[in-house]
Amino acid sequence: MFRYLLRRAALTLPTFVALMFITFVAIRLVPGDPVEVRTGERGISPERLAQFRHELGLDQPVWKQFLDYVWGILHGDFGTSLVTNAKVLNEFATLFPATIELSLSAMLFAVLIGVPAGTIAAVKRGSPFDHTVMGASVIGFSMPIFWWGLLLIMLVSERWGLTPVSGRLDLIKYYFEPTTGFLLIDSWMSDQKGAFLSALHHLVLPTIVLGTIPLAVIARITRSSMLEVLNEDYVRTARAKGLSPLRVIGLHALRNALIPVITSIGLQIGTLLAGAVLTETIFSWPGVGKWLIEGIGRRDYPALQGGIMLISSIVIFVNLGVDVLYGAINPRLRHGR
Amino acid sequence: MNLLEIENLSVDFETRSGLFRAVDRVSLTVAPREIVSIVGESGSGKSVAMLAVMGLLPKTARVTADRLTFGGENLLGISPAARRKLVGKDIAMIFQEPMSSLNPCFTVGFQIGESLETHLGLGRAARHTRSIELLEQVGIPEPEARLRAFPHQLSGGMSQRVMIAMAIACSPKLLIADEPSTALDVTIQAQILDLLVRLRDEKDMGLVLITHDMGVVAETAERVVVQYAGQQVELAETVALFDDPHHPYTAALLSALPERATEKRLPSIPGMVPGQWDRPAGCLFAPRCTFAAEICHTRAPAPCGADLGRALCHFPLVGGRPRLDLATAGAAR
Repeated sequence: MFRYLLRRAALTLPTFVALMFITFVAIRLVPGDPVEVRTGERGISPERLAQFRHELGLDQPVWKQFLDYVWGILHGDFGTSLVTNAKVLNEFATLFPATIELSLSAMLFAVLIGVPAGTIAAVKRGSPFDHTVMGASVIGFSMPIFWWGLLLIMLVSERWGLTPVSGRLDLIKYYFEPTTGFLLIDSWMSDQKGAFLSALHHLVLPTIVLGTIPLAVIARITRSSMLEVLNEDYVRTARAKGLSPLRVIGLHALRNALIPVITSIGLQIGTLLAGAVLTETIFSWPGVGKWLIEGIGRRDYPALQGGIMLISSIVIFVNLGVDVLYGAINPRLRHGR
Repeated sequence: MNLLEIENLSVDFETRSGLFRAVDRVSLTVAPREIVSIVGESGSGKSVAMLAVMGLLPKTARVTADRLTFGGENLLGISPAARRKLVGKDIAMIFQEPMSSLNPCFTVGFQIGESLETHLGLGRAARHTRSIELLEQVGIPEPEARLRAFPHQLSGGMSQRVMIAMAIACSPKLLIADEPSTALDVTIQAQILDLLVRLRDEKDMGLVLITHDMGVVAETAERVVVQYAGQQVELAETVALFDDPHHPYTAALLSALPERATEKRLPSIPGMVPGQWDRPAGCLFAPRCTFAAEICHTRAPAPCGADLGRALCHFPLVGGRPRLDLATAGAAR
């Protein structure tokens, strides 16, 4: 198992190299550089422009900039943001918990609803419930996140006034020093009553928006996997033992049916983080997604390069983790042959 | 009193093209401690009939019978909850494919313990002790270590032994074995059959053995039901059946046994079992029967008396020859 992990980790190296190259090049292909963006429309004297460019190292040949960037990363230095002058790694670390909190919450939402819905749809195949779930999942999967988010804000927050429009917490009422960065945990541990509920309240809409696509995918995969498993001999054995339908389906069948679902969850981590970029922007959620979008607007090269590198590494490692989890749920993989 | 009583059991499946009759008026009784064998080719409805008894058929199946009781309890209108109290405890079943019949995600110990917990309410320690005992009874070496094994770590024969241990966990009164040795090596086959017969003796249970192997029947069963295309064509004591088969199909099956072959070339039954679409109008076996007369192709036969093994035939065989004088009323006319 350990050797397998090492091999898998080694295989990610080329991915990282390609990643560094692509992020570096892609950002520079966008017209306008950090200095031009900052000077705005009024313009700037050529001398000042050259001075700024020199300060930021943008007057160097591109290949040298790339080598500096790679050299920095190899030494654990992801550069300094051109806008805030703070270390990219630090900024990322402060903002990332907000993104994780949102992503985990969305995934939890998707799993907790998608797995039971898919299971029931499979058991009651061909029923109105089945058709409803499958229809809803096609709609959910094809829903543009931006539009879906705005629609929900309009209805749920604006018209019905049920949830806050944006942010993570009612900052006028509550304030406490972040310890973990996860607001649900921090607010729970703070002595301010109602802070936890406020944080939870703010989480509802973003969770639904971000969780919709994973929910649709998980419901579908669970259903098809379950349909297959229900025909297996061991399910008949379980029924022949006189076990209750709940135990036959919820334990004997589901445990096997979840194997492909876990794989798909791993594959969706990337989608989820990409979705988080949009969702955070819609809800002014102070996470890395919103930070990256702002970085693009300001052509903050180091922040973008570093941020994308960090997010990508996380996606890669999560997938590695899913492989390990896979072994935990599927004993056939745990004890190689 | 008989343990299992089945009278005119029929099973129909709803298909796109209407009802398909998989089991057609099968009657059978099993007494306590008795071994009854059901023989027939694939698709003769032998498994389906027993799955109907267990209540394991899919929702598309329609089960009808004049009588279907176990230990005096009517199984026909029984509620699912009441059936679950019976199935797995008093009636148990093992299947053809031991490797795929065990759940790959759970250990052997968990799967055996589950039955003990569900039906007997045993605690953790009691389950452990009893599971070891059961594995010993079915002849599994190192039972303690085996409890922690996952199904993929077991051979086919071992898996079937585990299945048997699971089935006998609650000391059932009746064990239904659906081709328990078909998927196994020949040597293992014999071991499994010996084990089943031994357990019958030790545990005082009835045994229904579904098989397509006449050799297995001869070695183990006391009575035999022969099924063809969903119909029960003969029912007799094993010795009598091997001595003097009354249905031409039974006779043909027996003469195809290598041990009985008189010629160099093994005789076979020409043709195929009729499917849903090509059911003959008269006797279902008529197209393949060497003795078929005209009436056999036009009119379905009624079963003969018990002395002729209730053979479903117009001209039942006696001593290998059709007896026209014994022909059923319809044929005589």
